[in-house]
Amino acid sequence: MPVLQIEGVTKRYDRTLAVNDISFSVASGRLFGLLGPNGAGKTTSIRMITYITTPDEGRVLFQGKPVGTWSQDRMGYMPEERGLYKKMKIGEQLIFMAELKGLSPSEARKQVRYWLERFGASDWANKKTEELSKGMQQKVQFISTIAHNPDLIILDEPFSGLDPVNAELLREVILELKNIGKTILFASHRMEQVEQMCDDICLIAHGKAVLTGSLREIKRSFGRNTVEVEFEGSDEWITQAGGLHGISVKARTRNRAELVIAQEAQAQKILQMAIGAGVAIIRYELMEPSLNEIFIRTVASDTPPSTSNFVAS
Amino acid sequence: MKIKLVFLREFMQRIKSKGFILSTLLAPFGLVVFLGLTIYSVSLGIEEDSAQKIAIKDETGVVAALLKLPQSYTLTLAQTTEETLRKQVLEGKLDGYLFIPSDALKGDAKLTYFSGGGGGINKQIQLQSAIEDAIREARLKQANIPDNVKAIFAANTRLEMKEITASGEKADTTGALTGIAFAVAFLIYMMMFIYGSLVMQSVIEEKLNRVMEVLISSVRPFELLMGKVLGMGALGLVQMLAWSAVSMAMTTAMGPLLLLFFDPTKMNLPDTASQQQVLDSAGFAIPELSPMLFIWFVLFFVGGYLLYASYFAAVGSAVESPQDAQQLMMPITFLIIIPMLFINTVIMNPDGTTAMILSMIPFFSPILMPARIAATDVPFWEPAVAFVLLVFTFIGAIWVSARIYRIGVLSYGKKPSMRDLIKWVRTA
Repeated sequence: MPVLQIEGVTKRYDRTLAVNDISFSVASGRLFGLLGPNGAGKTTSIRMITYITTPDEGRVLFQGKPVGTWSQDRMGYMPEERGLYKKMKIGEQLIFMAELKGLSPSEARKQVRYWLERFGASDWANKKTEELSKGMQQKVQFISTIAHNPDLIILDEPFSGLDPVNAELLREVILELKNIGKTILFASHRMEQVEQMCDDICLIAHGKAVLTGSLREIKRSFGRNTVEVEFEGSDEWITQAGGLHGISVKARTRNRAELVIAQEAQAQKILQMAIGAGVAIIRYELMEPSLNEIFIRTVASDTPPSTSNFVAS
Repeated sequence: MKIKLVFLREFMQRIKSKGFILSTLLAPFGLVVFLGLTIYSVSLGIEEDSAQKIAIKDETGVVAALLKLPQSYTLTLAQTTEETLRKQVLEGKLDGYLFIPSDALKGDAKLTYFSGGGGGINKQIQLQSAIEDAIREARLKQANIPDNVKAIFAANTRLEMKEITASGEKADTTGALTGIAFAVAFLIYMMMFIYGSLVMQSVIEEKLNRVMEVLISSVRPFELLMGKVLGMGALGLVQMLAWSAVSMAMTTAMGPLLLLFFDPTKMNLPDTASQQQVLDSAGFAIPELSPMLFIWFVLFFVGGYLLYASYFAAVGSAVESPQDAQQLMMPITFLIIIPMLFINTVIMNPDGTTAMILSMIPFFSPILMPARIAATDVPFWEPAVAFVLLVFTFIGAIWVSARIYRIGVLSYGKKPSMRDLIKWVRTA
């Protein structure tokens, strides 16, 4: 049974449609990616899931029942804009947050102690937020999201502002949480950062869901459309191949080429051309498109304007 | 209850803060120092005057000899011209000179005192009364008035105010009560403003810190609003109670304390004069404060604070800096200031109809009603009705504020106008 069901949800602010008739569901124990450019409606959707706001139309179900104050205690939400009380001690702050989620004082203390230890942060308990570095604050923020043992963990742009070491640590913890059966919902506009992790995705643009389903199936349905060739020898054949109908050059260097093909059969054609040109082939691969490409292709086909800021990032 | 958690956090975090501890401890200390200095300066005024050198140009030839001024004055009969006297005043050899014209003993006399300026009001009062006495005496003498009539003129009349109480009578304390009434009004006014602003700052801080988004994914905005307002209010109450305890201790200690400054012998009282006699004659009467005043004071402070603080919180939720809040605070600032404009009228004439009506209006009653209760005897039903009205208004205000707050906490970027707030109240 899905943990979370979004059914025909619409939300308007003044005259703008922030979310326009979106539906998707998140299955238990999966890593779900809510992906789309800035302003697509990700945060608005999350706010309705977390019962911060309510939809104008449609409904949001958590574990089969409409969301409400009861479901707030079962979710952990880390907003894109991180926030902690600057002058409050880390320990007190985390216990307060956990108690707000319905934990008893003793249980809250126990959980906070456990997680601070897990992140090697036990010495921080008596420090104030303002005494900690950015990276340390990120960890504290993450602990405050999961300390109350929620069933659904919602992370809005979880990797933004993290250095590679902390990003890796976070990735590990997220997978660990998934392994113990937690459901995790990601929201991000950096698709390449999350595409290796997600099981299922919902791509949204301009408040509408444009693509929903299992990441693997979506990729499969788009076919393998990119050919990567590493070689030694003259690179003239690349220009020739790029001139053919249905084949275009995506990237090239002196001995590496990435070509996008319209039909999978054309992959063979490229290999023949390379061999025919007499170059020594080091590597040849027929690849699935990246999520980024899938998104751009999907959005370009149904909504023309302004994906530019998204492509740039 | 999540309200309780929010309440406790607000209360515990603040009560531990240096700012709170310092202001709670230092304010009474500051008050003691201030009172001490005031009393000390009054006692100085009684005890000593700076030396004054004054010349008298007396055209009547009789008045100068009759002038009775305190010892600090050195009087000389001027033989020189007025020109010379003026020069001496300008050069600082004289503090001033008194010109008594030849017709000073006829009709409404007009004398002139020329000085280098300044010297204070005390000196003018002393001169004025010494001259009046001297001229009267000279004229009585001139008219050959018998001694018994002179005695009539010399007699002083004093009106002494006594208040009848069940156990007898005591010195009237209207003066002191008036002072207390002003103090009560200002204290409530100040505390409502200070604590209201603290609530606002606290909300703005949560919004700027972006803790808000996490909080409202765990608590309903209304619980967050009420928890914070109540937590801060409890803090204000603790501070007021601490101050009250100190000031009660101070009132008890005031008598002996005041005595340190006054020497009975200098006030023409016997050495053995009682504390009460000394203080009476120095113009200090220490009033007894009724417990009812205290109870109403606390109730109206709490009611008024809640009424205003909920709106302060709502405005805090709508903006991103205290500067942006100013325009939105206008209506509320107005409502708090109006009673302060009428405070004089109400306290000077606390039993009047104006005072009664103003002190019943919910937005004004938190300041005016306790002040009235301090200044006079108010029938019980008046504060009771005013308080009930206040509570109803508060419920209405919190309803409005909660609707603004719910939308405000999520709005970033554009600084909202008054019109936006009204729209939020309507649509929320």
